[in-house]
Amino acid sequence: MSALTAPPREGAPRLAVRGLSVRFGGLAALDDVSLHVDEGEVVGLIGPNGAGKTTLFNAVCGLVRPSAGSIAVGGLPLAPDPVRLAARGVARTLQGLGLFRGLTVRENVLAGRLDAHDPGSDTQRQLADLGLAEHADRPVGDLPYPDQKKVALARALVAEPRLLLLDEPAGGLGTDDIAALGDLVRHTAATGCAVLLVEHHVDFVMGVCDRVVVLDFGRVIASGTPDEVAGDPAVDEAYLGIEVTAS
Amino acid sequence: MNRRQRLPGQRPLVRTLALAAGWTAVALLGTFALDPFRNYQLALVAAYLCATAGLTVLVGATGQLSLGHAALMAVGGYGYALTSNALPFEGAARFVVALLAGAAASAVVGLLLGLAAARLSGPYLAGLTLAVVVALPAVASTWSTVLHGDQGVQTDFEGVPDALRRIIALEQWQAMVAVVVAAVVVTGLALLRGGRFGLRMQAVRDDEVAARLSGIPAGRVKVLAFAASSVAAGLGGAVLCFVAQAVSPGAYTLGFSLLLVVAVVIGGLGSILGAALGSAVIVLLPWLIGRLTAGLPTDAAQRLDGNLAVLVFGLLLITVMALAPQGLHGALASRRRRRPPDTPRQIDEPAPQKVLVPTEEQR
Ligand SMILES: Nc1ncnc2c1ncn2[C@@H]1O[C@H](COP(=O)(O)OP(=O)(O)OP(=O)(O)O)[C@@H](O)[C@H]1O
Ligand SMILES: [Mg+2]
Repeated sequence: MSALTAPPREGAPRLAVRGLSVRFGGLAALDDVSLHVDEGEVVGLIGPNGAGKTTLFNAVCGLVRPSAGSIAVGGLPLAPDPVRLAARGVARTLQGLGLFRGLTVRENVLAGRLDAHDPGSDTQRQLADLGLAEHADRPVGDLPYPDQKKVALARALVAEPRLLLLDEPAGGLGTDDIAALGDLVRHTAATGCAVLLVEHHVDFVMGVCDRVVVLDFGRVIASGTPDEVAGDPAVDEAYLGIEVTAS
Repeated sequence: MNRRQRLPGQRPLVRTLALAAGWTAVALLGTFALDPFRNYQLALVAAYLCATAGLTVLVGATGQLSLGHAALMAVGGYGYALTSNALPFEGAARFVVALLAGAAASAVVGLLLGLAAARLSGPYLAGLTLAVVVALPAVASTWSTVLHGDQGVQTDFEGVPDALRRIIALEQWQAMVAVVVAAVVVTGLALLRGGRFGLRMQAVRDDEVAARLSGIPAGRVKVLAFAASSVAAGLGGAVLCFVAQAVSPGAYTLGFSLLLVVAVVIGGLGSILGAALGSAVIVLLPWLIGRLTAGLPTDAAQRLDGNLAVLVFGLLLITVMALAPQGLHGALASRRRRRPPDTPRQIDEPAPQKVLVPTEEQR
């Protein structure tokens, strides 16, 4: 930990996870995981169901306590308090929708920006950017599912995060929406935001990510560019559950 | 207030204030048309409204259910009475200081309860608040040197100011004071709910984890909401003590506490107007029943009196839940909003919940 208490360095990764372990009773949900995401970079975190992807997000957000390891944002260790994340420039979407069902679309997005001086204008701009402006004052539950996913994304983006964690952003979306999501993620990264995303949709991950980290049973089994990872027999094995003999 | 501070989609401050001023003026003018007994009933409605408005905002906006708001009213009442008796001066100044003391007392108790409440949810919170009401008589007798046990605390009477004595009777004056206090409480609650804090409360209610990830301190929001609701109830109790010139545990029973919940539910959860309607119902209904049974032979009437009210409230609650689950306010609002038959219905595709999406949120 002491190495990470230094002031933020120029070039320090936006997110640095070192030797992270999380245990639930006897289950090692994460076991000595290290990864980093630089500014402007999109990193995909993939792996079969139960691999520990969401748990890694939860640890970064302070929702679960790691048994070992360290997490640093911009070179500074992270306080284990989800409420303080937003102030540190970290935003996250949840694997479900995580929307506030009793609120309108606008209020949902506003809720991501309440500490700002002028949350109204920021919200309006964000809604317009994502094409949600015309639905702004409808109850969020009235929107079709893909639009609700957009609202969740808008709530994360409106806080102008420096580190964005997306948990299955393409889940439940159709081909066109997935393509638009890919553009949005690339665009967000182009502004300097670091993006770490969990996704099962292989084409999406391969098309959008600069690097991919593969988890299985809580351990990193492969990492590299999409092409490197795609050709890695260990990844096929983890996903298909069959022995692939390297020949 | 800075113009930029207003959140879009929320009711503007000016409109809230104008609405409050309008309703208050109507109620104040109304006191001139009412006879003393009706004015007494209006004062009760106003006092109950403080508590039910606080309760409906708490339940509606944060999802925390309190069955103990009668006890919080009692705290406000005792705070008012003890302070009023201790003050060396009288008149309007004594009333205002005692009222503020009642509010402060209920704020402290509400804060403590809220701290416990933030860690509890659903039935556990309901149970805790229930226990507080049940414990009230025991508390009053344990500290009987100050609280005077079951007898309660009497206070001096605050009469009509000299300047108004010729034109305003005591009951009317009490009704006017009660209406003004209720107006302040209701306006405060409406502003609280209409601003950023209101959004925070609702976000925490709908999804606590998502709220915290958005930087909303869920625990603190819940505690403050409970304390604010408690202050509203405490002010109601203080007003009730001002009207009755006494506060005692016998007035704040479990039955009364549940009646406050009934008022909120039949009025429409989360609706302040509904709380006002509900408060009127819980004041007028027992009185109406009393009028109806008055024609019966005395022993039959006596036997029916208390029980009939419970029965009628039970039936009313069931009827409202069955016919208008949004309460009286919801029923009125939907009638007003009903579309003319020729406008095409907006086509809302049902949210496709059954697509291949994990519905169980794993966090
Ligand atoms: N709060 C918890 N308590 C106990 N076990 C948990 C908890 N959260 C996760 N787990 C377990 O930890 C393991 C990793 O779960 P996690 O949700 O991180 O997987 P995931 O990679 O996100 O899977 P999916 O692709 O299905 O979302 C699973 O075996 C899960 O059952
Ligand atoms: Mg997951």
